[in-house]
Amino acid sequence: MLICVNGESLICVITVNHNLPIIEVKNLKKNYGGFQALKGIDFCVDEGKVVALVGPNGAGKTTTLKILSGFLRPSEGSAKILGKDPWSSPELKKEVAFILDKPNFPPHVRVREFLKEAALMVGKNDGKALDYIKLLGLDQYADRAFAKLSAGNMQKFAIALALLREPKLVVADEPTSNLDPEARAQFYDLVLGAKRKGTTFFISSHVLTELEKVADDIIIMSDGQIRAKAPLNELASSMSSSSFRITTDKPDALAELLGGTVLEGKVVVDEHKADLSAIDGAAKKVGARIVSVDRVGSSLDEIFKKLVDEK
Amino acid sequence: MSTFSRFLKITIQEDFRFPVAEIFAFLMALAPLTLYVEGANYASLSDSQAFSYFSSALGLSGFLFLIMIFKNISFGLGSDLEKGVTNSFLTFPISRGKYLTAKLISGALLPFLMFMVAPLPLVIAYAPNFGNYGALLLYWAITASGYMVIIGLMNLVAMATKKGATSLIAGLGLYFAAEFASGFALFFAARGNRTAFYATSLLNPSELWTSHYRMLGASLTVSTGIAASLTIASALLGIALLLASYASFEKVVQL
Repeated sequence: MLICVNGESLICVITVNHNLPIIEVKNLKKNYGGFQALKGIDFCVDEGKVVALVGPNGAGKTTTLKILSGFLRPSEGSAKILGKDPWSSPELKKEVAFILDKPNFPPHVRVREFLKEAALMVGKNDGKALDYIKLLGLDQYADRAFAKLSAGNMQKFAIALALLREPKLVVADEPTSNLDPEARAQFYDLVLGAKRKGTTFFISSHVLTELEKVADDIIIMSDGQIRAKAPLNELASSMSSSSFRITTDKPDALAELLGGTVLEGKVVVDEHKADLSAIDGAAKKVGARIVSVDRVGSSLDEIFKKLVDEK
Repeated sequence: MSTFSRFLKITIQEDFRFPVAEIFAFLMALAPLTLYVEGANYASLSDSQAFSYFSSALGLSGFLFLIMIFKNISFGLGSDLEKGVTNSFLTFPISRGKYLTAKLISGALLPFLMFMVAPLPLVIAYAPNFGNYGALLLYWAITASGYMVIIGLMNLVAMATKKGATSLIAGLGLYFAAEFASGFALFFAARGNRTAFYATSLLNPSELWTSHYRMLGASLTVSTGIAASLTIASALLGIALLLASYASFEKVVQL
């Protein structure tokens, strides 16, 4: 851009960031009759990231995801995907895949028949779909009707349908809730694989330890509000308070003196309450023999609990 | 094939599972036996005879069509909304309007063609002196307008309840309530008060034409003008209810 000021030319380069957030939620509110499920939440999801939405039951996660899926209308505020309103933009679903918490398909249609049409509906061939089906160990069920599929297999099928689209964004509501541990691990491997190819993920889940392995950013919700949103590592370091886990022959007496708790036979003391010399002094005072002292950082579970409890 | 036609194909696979096609085949196989006796009675068909012949010849078909729309719309749509099948479909690039259109084509239009239109060549073949196509068109128009009202109501009930069983019970309740109301209305009409009879005929205009052709006795005769205008009113009511169900599904129904 060339701007002239008092006859002198001034060259000014303005960099405009055309990359809109892939999801943009502003002052989103949702009321069910007199009950306010969402109390005005704001957040953005940038392209290429895996963002985890976590919170206890009734936090408003599913409501948020249902609004993003175009199943619910917000009472106030807006939720946009790729700049569009999901309620009125079905074409979005060419680029965005959704994995529902309880996916269900026409009960009397066979998996293979559905898969073929579903793959073609999103511009892929059924061969690719069958690859995903095999990968998730569903090929043996391909000739069964959906009514004869377990909830876990139905969920695997929904995952296969979502990923075969190679979408820009996957919005997933509790995608692993019905899966066994092996299938859960497989799902998160698929997430990481798709992420490497540029797919953005917005995943709500209760299984925090699994999300810890894949999430870049985390949004913690409770009671219809956002309690925290940050890159996972930043949140962990800002919120973490390490604790000491002490193995001793007199855990109860030591815990009482240090103001800690006894967990699985070990004394757990927050580092703000006692340092190593205080532990040594307390052990001498109660005549306890210290076998080992380990320093342990906060897990995502602990951070989550802390934030939710702070409300 | 477009996304819509692929979705329609899946919907038809679901709606026309065993034993729907088998019942249809059985009906077609049975038709010559019943229609032969019926049709052979007529040397030539006046409007009144043609209407009577179609009413009885397609009576069983009409009943099966009614069962199909209860199964596909009342129970089927309600169940899909309840169990999240609708949600799963709407994760594909298909609008709510097209979703409902596919459900209606598969759930109501195709059964109408199967049970109300497809048997007609047989019906005509067994009344050799038929030749009364006006009566045939009238019969279709009357049947279609009555069913549109029922289907529109079923759609709205399914969307309101979002539960298969509840929607089916409510749909059946509405249907039988309308039938009972129609019976009471006829009772009052026979005693000179026709208001209720005209009102209930909006749900079932064939009663009007049965009266028009004096099948209910000379005292209950309805003029062509009244019968035609109430049939048009019934068709308009059916269209309005269908449009209301579209508007409701596209703008209001939350899943």
